[in-house]
Amino acid sequence: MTTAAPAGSAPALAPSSRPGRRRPIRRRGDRLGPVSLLGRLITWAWVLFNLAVFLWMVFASLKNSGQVFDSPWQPPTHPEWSNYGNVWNASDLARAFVNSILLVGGSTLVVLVLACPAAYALSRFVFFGSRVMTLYFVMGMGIPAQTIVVPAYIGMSHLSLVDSLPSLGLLYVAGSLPFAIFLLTGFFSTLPSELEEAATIDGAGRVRTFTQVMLPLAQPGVITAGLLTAVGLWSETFLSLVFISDDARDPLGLSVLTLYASMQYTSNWGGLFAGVCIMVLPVLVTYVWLGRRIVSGLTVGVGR
Amino acid sequence: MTISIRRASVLAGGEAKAAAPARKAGSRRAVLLFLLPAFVVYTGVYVAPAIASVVLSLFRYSGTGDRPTWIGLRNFREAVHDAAFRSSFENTFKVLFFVGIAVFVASFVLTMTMREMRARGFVRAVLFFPYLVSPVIIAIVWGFMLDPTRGLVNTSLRQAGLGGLTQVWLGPELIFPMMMTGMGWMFTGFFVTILLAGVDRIPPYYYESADLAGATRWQKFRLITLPLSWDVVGIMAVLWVINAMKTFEFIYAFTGVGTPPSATNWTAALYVYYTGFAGSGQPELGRACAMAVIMLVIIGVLVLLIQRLMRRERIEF
Repeated sequence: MTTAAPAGSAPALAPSSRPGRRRPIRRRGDRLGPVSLLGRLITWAWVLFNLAVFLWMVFASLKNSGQVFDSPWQPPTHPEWSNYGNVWNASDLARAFVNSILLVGGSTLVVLVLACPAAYALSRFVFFGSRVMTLYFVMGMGIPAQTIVVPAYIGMSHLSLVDSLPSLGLLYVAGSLPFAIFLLTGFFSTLPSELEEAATIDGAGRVRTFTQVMLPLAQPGVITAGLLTAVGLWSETFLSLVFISDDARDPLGLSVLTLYASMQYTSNWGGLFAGVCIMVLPVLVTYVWLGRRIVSGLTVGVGR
Repeated sequence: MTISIRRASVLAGGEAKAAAPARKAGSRRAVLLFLLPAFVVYTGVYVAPAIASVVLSLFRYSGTGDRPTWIGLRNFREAVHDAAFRSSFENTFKVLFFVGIAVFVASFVLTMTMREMRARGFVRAVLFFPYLVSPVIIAIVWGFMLDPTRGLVNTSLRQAGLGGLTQVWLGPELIFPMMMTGMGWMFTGFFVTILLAGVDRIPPYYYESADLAGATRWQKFRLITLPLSWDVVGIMAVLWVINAMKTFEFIYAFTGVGTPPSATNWTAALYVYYTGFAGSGQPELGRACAMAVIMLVIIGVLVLLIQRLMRRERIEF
């Protein structure tokens, strides 16, 4: 079937250019029109704004409370590194940090352990109802946590499971499975089937083929899925707000919220921003280090 | 160059079924072994509670010690007369449409500009970052910037000699618009990233030949960019509906920590939380579930509507 391609067909003009790659659009001598100029102005203003906000946040974490407000744009003249030490120890951010690492790390691991074989089966096995099953999992991406929170809370309090990190983790796992399975199903279906066939001919069973041949091949996808799950759960605060009441079990998000609420009275604003920076830092490091994978994972639905 | 037509399948997974080796022996057992654990956890901990919400929305129930009483659809009927419910509902639609339109317009403007920029990688990285940071953090930072007495915005305005422009940004009139602005800021980077990935797939020679034909910027946008990224726009709309509906942390942390924000600033997500868990009186779990069900219905209806509206011949290129 053919259709009229917009703007006609002009492949002869650029025989070697591959679609979807970076390309120099502007030729020398091209002048920017007023519309482009305005667009660029907006874009750079937006970039500058984001950078300024970030810088302001870091500056504020190194100031005493007076300076935070009086001279917001000035770099800290005498950096108060003690802000960090204080919130880390006195406000128990250390414990919250450890809680968050365990909660997010553990949940992510379980998500991958459950999602990898499921996604593999959904993308490679031929069985009745596989399409419906895929849809059933993907559908979960559209179910907001607010829909499950009340029955989940009632059920867990009947089982005396409320206010514990493992049961919060269980909710995290269940809520993260749809996206992880969606991502990994797409990934597995792009892998070549020849190796799989070869493994079968060599006498490997399904489990062996999966663990020793396909899983290693899927490693980039698995890492991306884990990364996106972890970054998402690191920010999750709604379910933890409902399910965790003991301060000692607070994940970092709750701790920062508590800090925020109490700062209204203690007005140790520098300390609050130190807490904010402590929560942002792991995300920033991950982003700088593996940002490409995060972006490619989130845009995976676009390429197909 | 072959061009074929295919129905756009938004968010559809496995298409490469044909490539899978058809082995029948022990097939059922393998499927169970691979699929069952995820199925059990997802069904038991996520789908079952979601269904339970639908059931519970037909009861009056205030938690442990209380017996659920069947009241039929009364939770839904009474909700219409509940001021908090109504303003939450209205606010949810304000967020969905006003912020949605703003985010989409901003995303298109930024993407069309970035497409032609050399520093696009850097620009995208900076724009995207707020989406990755915890919404709680964004809310705290946004709140400090707008604090009327000593916030960054008003202080900067005063120092720049523009004291006349200062506003009570977090007063009862402006706090919700400011919340919506913050939400737009948080989400735009995400949608720019998705749209850019879609626009990047368009072969550059389309634009080049359009240039040769003397097409204007607007014509290129309308005749090339928009039709060829149409399926991406559909995906964006679906993602927006889901993300906007469930946004909780940002609104919660921005409109008031410690003291519950006035109900005029709630959205559906906050209504569920405050009526179910953190209200001033008895928790009304049935009522909270009713709102949760309404959220689910809104998402379902809008997603179907979007797929309907966006359904057109997909152009493969």
